Amino acid sequence: MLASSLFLAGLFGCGETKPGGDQESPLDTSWVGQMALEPGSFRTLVESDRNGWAAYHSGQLEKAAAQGGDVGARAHRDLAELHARLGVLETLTWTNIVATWDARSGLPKDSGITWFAALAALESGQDDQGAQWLAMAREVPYPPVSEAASTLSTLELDASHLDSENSLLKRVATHAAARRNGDVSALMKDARRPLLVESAAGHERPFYDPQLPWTLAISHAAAAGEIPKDSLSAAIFSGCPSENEARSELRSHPAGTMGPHCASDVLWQELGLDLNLGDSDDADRVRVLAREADAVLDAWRESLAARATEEGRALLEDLQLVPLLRGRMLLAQARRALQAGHPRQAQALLLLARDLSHPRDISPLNPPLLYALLAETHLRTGHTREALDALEVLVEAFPAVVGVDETVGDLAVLQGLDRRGDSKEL
Amino acid sequence: MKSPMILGLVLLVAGPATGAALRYAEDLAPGIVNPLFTTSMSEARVNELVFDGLFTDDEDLASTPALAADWDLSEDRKSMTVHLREGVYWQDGTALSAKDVVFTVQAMKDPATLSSEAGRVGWIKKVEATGDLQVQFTFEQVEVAPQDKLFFKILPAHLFNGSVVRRGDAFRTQPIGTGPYKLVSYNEDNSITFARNRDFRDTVGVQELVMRELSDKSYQAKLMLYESLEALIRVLPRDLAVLQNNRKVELYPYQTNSWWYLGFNMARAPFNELNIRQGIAQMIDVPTLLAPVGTGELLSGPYVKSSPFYNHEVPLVENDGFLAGGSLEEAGYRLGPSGWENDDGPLTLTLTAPRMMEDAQEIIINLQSQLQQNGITVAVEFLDEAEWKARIWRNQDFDLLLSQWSFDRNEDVRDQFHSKGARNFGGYASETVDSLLDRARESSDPYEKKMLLRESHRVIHDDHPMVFLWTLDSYAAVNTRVSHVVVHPFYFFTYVPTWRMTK
Repeated sequence: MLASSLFLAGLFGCGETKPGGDQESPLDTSWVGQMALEPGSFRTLVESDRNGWAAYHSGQLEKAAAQGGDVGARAHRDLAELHARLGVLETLTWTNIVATWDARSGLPKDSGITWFAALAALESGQDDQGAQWLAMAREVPYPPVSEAASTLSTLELDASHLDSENSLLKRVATHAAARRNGDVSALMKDARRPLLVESAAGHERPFYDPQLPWTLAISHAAAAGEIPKDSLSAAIFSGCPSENEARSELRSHPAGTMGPHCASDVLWQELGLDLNLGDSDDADRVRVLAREADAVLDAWRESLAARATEEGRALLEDLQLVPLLRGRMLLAQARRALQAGHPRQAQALLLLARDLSHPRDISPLNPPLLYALLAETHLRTGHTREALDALEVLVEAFPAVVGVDETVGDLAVLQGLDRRGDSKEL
Repeated sequence: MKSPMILGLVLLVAGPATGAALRYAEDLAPGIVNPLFTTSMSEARVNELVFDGLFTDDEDLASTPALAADWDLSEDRKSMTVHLREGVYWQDGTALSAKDVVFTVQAMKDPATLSSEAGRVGWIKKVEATGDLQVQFTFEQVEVAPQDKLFFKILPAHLFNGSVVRRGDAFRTQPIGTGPYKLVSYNEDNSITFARNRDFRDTVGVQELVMRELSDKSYQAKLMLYESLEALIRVLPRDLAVLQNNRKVELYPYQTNSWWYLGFNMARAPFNELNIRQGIAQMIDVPTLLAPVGTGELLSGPYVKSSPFYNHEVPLVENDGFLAGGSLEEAGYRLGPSGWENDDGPLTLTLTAPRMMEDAQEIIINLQSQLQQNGITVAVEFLDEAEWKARIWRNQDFDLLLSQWSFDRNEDVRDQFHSKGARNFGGYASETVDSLLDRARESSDPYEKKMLLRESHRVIHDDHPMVFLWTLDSYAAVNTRVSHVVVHPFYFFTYVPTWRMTK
């Protein structure tokens, strides 16, 4: 899509027409307005790295990150946040697995489950919980687990453990090394395989590496480097309509952390949108917000198209710029709702943000983070099985998601052990 | 697709929104309103309106008491006492009592009832009323969380004689429940009207529901856009974008874990032969069949792709005429001038599909064409709902059928593939699969259950009792005048009492 627009940008390059119409909007100063009214700036930007921006626009973040430069920095930031959210999901899942299994029948005595839960807890800063589960893992009658649990007190294992015969300790040390030197290749080689396959009575229990998303988040955050200097490159394809807010956002929130992402951008406020989420997790409230935003954006889209240059109009349509801004704006509100502890609101916003012409694909309007957050909201609202639908979209593109997906699947099965399934025709 | 004239007429009849009635569309009206004989999703949805169970799902999908007020699980976990909620009345004014619960379980268990839901109470050894509002359950074995299994709907004992319930009982069209809505009329236009049950245990927000049977999905979407319907139960992928872009419509995804399939009658020659089933499967170009329906995911077995039980190592059946021919030759057939034949004559089959199934006709015609091009003589037939239940469910009278199964989040395929499964009308029987499904049901380790069911996927795929086709996403469309909408991923209307609608 972007590729064809780049072609169009070349065609129209020399013959820009003057913008017409007088229905100006505060949003005219946004990156979308800039592209429609002054497409030359976009042309300059993409000429710096066509492949990179095309990949970034379509959600191929790894490819965009590999391009380096401003687009690489933006892609690394997105990847850092994506993996950080998957890490949160991993911790939530392990916490649920241990709690559900323990409440149901007591944890299996012969299993290293608590080792993996401990790592997930320690990664998310739940040190007390992590220590408690490590203590339980020390009692497991399975030497690789009990030895590892007895040795580990912090995730910052030194390099001496890189040659450990204990594969669990060796993996923790490999993570620590990767966080120091940024080289995740050894970890990615095994990303689709379980870290430990435990023998139980008549079957096996494969456990995946719960640290992987966290290490990837850290390494991408480190690779993100400088904030893009070019004005458009800081904000383009983001949920931050105004460049100043985008730059401020990038400055104040390190890569991998979940900042407000311009959810309260001054432009949204100038447009009269009620961004107050309220005190309760009321999904209808954010549906109203989305409708208000749609009304504003629908009117602006029409006005902007009337005033845009011919090339700008082509960009608006070809790249679906207004729907893209809408989707990113709702995604930003969803992040804010999650931060406020309102998963139902976040879920409603994410579902409204999703482009249903590609409901199972990563696409320009459906970025990878949308699916990761959707999985998280499903898990937080008890809909574990539905989290798997969202993760399935990510599994192909991101090997690190395989382990998260399998672990969430284990939880879904555990939660249904006492249910008697129902099925019907049609 | 309906002509503009018909559309105009319907709009005139249906009219714009006039009041407090929420009008929703079903592809297929329920054939029966009796939870003991529920076989289709539309029937299950109506059950959710009219009836209530002892327990139900809360919005976080945890078990929560419905008709139950409280319960005590014995120390050995082999029995449980359920205390019923006080002040609950059937929609005819009779008070709910423990006898109703006992009657329902006994009726479901009674072989003479022939309940399609009997499997849901097989784990209950004994049930008795120990008080007016107190029921004691004794289990076949230890149960950790029996409330998770007590979701089946309760029937009014006073409207039946003995413990046998007949499918043809008048109750099927005059149901009385304790649910949020009462069925008040079957209307001349194939619609059904439900009125709010003022005695329901919670406030019910929408005064009246009207279910309209409309098999044409495009027509459903049009009526939704014209605001002649307030809700669509299931939108086809091809209609999603247009509905999403309408600012008066909200789309709500929900998960029914449903998949389409072609099922062989394995009790009938020559479909009892693996090579025949495999050969026919190899003749089918599934993506071409799917094209008119929209986007979906192709499947290699009886789970949807995002399921923890889906075995990703099992490939899709390869559509290859050469391989198909080899399979049929293995079965003793040869390709003659008029197609595949053996000494008994040509290979023929009849394709059967439910008349009301959206897009079934186009799929069946395409499939007929594909098989005929490969040398099989194919007849087609479309059955209405009553014929379907009689021919397929009761008499197993078919060669190859097209249908769809929907599963709740537990994705338990035992009824479909266990030799004793209540929905196994294809007659599939495999000792290996029986053992895998039995062990999976008994397992208390999620890792073991996952492993066993992934293996069942592989074995079932290799046995070809069905040609597994595809899964589609499920979205409901609801007018923005309806608020507080939460959709249950399987039963849909579980939370309907909380819905509100403005005029």
